[in-house]
Amino acid sequence: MTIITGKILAKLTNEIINESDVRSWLTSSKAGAVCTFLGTARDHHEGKKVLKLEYEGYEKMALLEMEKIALIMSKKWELEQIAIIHRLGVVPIQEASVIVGISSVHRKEAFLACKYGIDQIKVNVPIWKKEYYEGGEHWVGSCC
Amino acid sequence: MSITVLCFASIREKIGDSQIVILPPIPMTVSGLLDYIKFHYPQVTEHLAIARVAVNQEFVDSSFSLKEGDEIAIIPPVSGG
Repeated sequence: MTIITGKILAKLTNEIINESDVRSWLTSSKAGAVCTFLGTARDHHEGKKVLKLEYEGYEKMALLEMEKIALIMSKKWELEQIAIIHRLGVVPIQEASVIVGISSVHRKEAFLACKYGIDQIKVNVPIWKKEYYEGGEHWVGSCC
Repeated sequence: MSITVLCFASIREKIGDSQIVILPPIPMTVSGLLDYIKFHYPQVTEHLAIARVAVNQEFVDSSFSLKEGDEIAIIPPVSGG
């Protein structure tokens, strides 16, 4: 599922995130800076060995929330293009689960907006991560 | 009034379904809906205590009034990104 409105790309995918394609979309003749953040699956969490991650989303709402975040970013800073892509389904260790990409005229805005984007995704976007360990699994953030 | 409630992640697993159709008394607020779900699915009581609710893809508070046709989703603590 994808939303593209002018300078904003918000997308959910079950495929491997292609950072190179995202950077190609972000670059423009006006931009002097391109900043991309990748959230990648790591093999440890709170002392436990993580075997893989799996993501589930309320897709319709997740896309809308991702678009809202991008709109806020475009109001806070002067940006050229904004890309937010989240992967769903199984994400093997070391692969990316999310990419936040920004292009802007100057680097200051790109760095600030990129950090803001990933910080905000973790607050309101209805996507959930399940960690698989040896002998167990757990929805991150759930009570029981 | 028949209401469909979408369930995700830990709540989906505890209830055993990604959506439940219920026939609560009308009128109903979100708070009333959660009480109704707790009564019929007591195994998610703790989960509901820390969950949010979205109606038609917008977060709402517990006093929000529901109407026929609303798409309701229980949103456990999110962990994307």
